[in-house]
Amino acid sequence: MMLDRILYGGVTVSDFIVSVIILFAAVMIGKAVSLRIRHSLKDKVSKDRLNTISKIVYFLSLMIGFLIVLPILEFRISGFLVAGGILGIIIGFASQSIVTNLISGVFLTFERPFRVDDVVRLGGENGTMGVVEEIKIISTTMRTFEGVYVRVPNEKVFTGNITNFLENIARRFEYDVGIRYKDDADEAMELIKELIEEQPMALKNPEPQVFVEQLGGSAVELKVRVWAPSTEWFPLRMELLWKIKKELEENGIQVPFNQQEVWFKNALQTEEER
Amino acid sequence: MTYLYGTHTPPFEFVERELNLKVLEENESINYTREIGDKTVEKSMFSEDKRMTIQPVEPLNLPKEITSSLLLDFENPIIIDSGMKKKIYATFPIEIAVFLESGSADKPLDIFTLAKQKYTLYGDVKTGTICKYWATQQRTDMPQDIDPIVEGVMELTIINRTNEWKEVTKVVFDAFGMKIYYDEDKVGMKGAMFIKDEDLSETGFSNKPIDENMTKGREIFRKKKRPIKGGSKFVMESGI
Repeated sequence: MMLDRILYGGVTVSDFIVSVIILFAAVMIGKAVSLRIRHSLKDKVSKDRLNTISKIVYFLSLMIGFLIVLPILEFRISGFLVAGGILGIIIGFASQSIVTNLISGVFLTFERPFRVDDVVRLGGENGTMGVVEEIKIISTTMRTFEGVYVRVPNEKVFTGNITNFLENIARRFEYDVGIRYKDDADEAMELIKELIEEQPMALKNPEPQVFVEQLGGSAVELKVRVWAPSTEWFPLRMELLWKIKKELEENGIQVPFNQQEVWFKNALQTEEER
Repeated sequence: MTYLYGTHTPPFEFVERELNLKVLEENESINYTREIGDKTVEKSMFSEDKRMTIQPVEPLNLPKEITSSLLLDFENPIIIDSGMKKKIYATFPIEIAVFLESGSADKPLDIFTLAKQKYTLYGDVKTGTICKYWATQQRTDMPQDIDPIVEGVMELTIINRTNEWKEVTKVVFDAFGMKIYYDEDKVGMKGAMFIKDEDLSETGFSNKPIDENMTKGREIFRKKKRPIKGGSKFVMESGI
């Protein structure tokens, strides 16, 4: 019969078909279990941990499938190890950068300088800034604020500067607000403090600070410092400054234009006076 | 007199302070309108069971769900002697949820609040916790002048298990575990604070009403998501 036909050694066509079915079942079971885990833990475990757990479960299932299939197909694991060792040396020489990225990926997984959904900047002041989408074993993928997909090799991530804007749960921002010399700075500071108090996301503690920073050339310069939850920092920063400006103006306090007094040695004359 | 809390059958209306809540029946639909100040929410629904339950819920949904912790800041510090157990009354903010009687506990039709919204940080920026903030007075007897659509009454038992007197200025709870009870004109819950060590206190809630004949409210967050670790207790390690 066709199924009893020997392919090699003692392995028949039916052995081969059984092996394919087992591997297919291992893939399906792995996917089903990891999907089930994702569903049941999605509200209880962070996204990146959930990714790691589901990947481990999936690859574990595949590995079990392979371990069942190998004896059926008469593959000896010891042979694999020798072949794998030689192959490893060849691949090692041929793909140094891949291995470096892989090792960097492993270190990143252990060190965890950022997590999925964190807002980070990778590589100095002019580096790539965006939301971490996935931390893979070779590379890290990000979505910039313009919606662009960026893939950064893990070696660059690991050896470069990493700024994580969500690592700490609260973050401070500050404004410089200038008022006219004839305005009451105490009143202005009180109005700004009251306005900050009305903002739910402006934290009560650490306390916001409003003080006279400098007596400038054209204005009394006030410094305003506010702490906010890191996730809400930017929306609050965007809206508060304009609110401060409107609040001050509604109370007769104005942000002055730059001014300069010029003194002339001789009195100026109009055309008619000449 | 129409009380806000409880189960209502349309049509009904509730007007108090800046809140104007109106539910009307039109043909087969239920038209829900809620106004607070200049903000209006309107919804139309189709349901066999038209009854609605309005009740206080955990103050964690508004303006945005960003924390599970609630910090009560006492106006004056409470000083409690070594080994002493003392019951005090404070207030806590509430949010009000409207549920379709046939709907799920974690999917309210609407949530609103008349309480002041404010957040604070407990601990430092690295290891601390963002908390919903509420300033409260503390009293030794149950306050009677509390507006139940703004705030609730917390019966807080403080137990000092250390060998020295302690000064308590604030208390932080994991509000996912809040057990809110209500009746027509009162909202309340029971909490406890165990001062265990120099820098360690534990807080939690008791599943009992502060008064007889109060109804247990639905717990949105317990149904919605309960983190695996942490339970419903909060460990205060950054000062009391």
